[in-house]
Amino acid sequence: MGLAYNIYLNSNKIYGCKTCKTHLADHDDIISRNFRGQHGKAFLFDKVVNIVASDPSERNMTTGRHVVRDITCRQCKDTVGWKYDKAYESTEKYKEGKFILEAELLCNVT
Amino acid sequence: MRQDHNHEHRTRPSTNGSSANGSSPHTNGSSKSSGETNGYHTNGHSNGEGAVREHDDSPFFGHDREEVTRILLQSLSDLGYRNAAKQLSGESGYELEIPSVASFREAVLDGRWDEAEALLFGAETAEADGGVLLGNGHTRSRRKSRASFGSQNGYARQGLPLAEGADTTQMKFSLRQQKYLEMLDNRELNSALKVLRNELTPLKRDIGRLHALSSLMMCHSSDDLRMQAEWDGPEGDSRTLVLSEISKSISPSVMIPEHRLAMLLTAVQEEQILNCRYHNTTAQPTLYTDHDCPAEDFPLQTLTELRHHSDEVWYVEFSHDGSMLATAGKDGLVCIYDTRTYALRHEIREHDRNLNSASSAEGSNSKGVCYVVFSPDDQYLISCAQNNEFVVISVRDGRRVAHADHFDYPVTTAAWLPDSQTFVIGTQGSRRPLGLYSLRSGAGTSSASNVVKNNEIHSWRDPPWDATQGSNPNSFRITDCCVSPDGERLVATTIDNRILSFDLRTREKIGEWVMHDRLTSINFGVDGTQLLLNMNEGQVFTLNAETGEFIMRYEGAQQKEFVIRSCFGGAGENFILSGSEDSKVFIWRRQTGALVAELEAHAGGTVNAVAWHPTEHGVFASAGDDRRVRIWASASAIRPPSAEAGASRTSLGYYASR
Repeated sequence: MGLAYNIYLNSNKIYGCKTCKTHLADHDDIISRNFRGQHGKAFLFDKVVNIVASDPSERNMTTGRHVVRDITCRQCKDTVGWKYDKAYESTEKYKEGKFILEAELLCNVT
Repeated sequence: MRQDHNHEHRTRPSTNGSSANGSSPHTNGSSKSSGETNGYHTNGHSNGEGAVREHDDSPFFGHDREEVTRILLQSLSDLGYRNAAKQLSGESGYELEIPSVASFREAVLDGRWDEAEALLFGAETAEADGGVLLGNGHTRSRRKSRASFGSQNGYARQGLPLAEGADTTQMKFSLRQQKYLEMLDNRELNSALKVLRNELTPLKRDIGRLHALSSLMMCHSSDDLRMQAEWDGPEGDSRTLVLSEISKSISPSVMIPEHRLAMLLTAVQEEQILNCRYHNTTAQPTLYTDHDCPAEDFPLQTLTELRHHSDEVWYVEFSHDGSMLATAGKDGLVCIYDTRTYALRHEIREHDRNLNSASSAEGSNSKGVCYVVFSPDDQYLISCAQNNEFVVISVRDGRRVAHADHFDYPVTTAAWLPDSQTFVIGTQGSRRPLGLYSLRSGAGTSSASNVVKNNEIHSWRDPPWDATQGSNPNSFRITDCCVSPDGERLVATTIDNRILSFDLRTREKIGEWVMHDRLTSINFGVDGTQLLLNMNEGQVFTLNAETGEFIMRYEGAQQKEFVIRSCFGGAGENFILSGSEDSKVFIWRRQTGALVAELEAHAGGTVNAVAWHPTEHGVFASAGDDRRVRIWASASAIRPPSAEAGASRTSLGYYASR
């Protein structure tokens, strides 16, 4: 729908989509590095830009049942991680509304 | 004697701009109560007749008869019909100017400055600094004779009545300055020096100008003087200019502002033009009727739709001579059409070639040409693509002549310089955000078949790129740019809502303005004096290109997420045209901001870009998300021409039958 330019972040260390280098998140916005995804290490972010979230689905993860949505890069449509919509266990509630980006699918952009 | 009687009555006028004597000196029972007459009736004037004339004082269709007649007298003299003017003044009994004004005018035009000053300000003031009078000793005797003349119309003592807010010091300054310059011109250096010392300096005004004038004494010859002072000598227009300048400060009822009738007519015409909603011509409308352009001559209807694109169309632009139309879209395709028949001339898939097969399979979303621009001579076309490159194509054969792909982020915009050889490229990358490129390769490569690659001759970046550092801090990223028509200035909008302007000669940054929301489009217009901008949340407005001051806002368009573009258009660039996210095309009157039309253009998507035909003012094009480009024309052009309509209609008329 129309031409829309990507959002660009202003920082020294920015993570971007591996294929098209679209800016996704700032290194300083990492909340936790203690996550693992299908492809290995993953980070929890509060703020991620230039992504499109797909439909929510319920999944069983190592930490319990959650409702998550896959997120893809806006430009090249590659999957880059997922977003937590809802966590059923109270100890996992802090993740709600936040994003996970898998390190394997990211690259450093200057 | 009646004349003295009148004289006494007239001793009351003040020189601070109020109208002259409020007494009614005429004894023939005129019904006029306006005190502004100054007794121009012949019974107060010593033209030798002296007889009382009964004249008609009835108002002229609601206007003061005297004012109308004097304005007519002025217009007749301006037109050169002097005999008619004399007859009119004889017949009506009104004079254009009282004698002291006429003698003031003559004094200025003949260069009798002291006399002019005396007439203007009154004999006492002239005598007050009478010790200053130099050289022209004869003015004393002249003034005596003037005094007797002046008593007949009574203004010699008090000077001419001045307009409100008139600056007497400034008026004296300009009279004396002209006197000084003429003396210098005549090489009367001593007298000029005395004027400078005794007349100009005591006014204590405009010290800078005084210094400039005193430095003019150093000029060797009168030609040198004229050049340095930008003054064209006593026989040129300078005296007339001084007269016009001073006449603005004299009460308008005494000395009617110059060309008053022409000014009134122009003002009425301009107002009619501003109120005319569909005014799409630069021709001067006739004075015989009230002006109003019909809606049939304004492009409000669809002429044809072009459907070559297989995905959203993002940009549309006409060539500078109007013979071609280029469109660009998300499918990576650039189409060039001929505007007479709207047949497809070239289909350019340059951006497809660069993608290797692996990425093109899934990379269908990284394609997309977001900007195309014709060179000023319409020989070349630059197309800027989302896959981080731009390509320059020769329009005649569709071959590429230059390209660059050393970018790591999408190329968003391009603008040509007037020489059609160099151009500016804006990208969203931080390494090379704004660069100046040339079609001529630096190393003098021989054969014409060589495609010039990555030929950047200058790069603008803030902070400048330091190749020795491992990582450079981020620079601004460009969303749109444009070059002024004279090629002097480059203005670009950045992703962090700033407008930067650069001088293209020195390549230095000359200005930066900060806006408060995202800017998506910028264009020069009106000979490079105005900038048209699209800003987020539906704002379309113009700024002064030099100072950045806001000029006019145009309301109605919607814009929140996408890039919407706008442009100037129409005859005399009378209109502003913009796309919008609610699938409508908006047209406003540029000068007043009034909405002219809101057209449903591309159902179900945004209207991304619009362009107005540069030579045929009744045609414009719009590009939208429904994969179509729509050409709009006026109803009178689309309707099949009637038998007696004439040849001018047939050029577009044949479309109707297609």
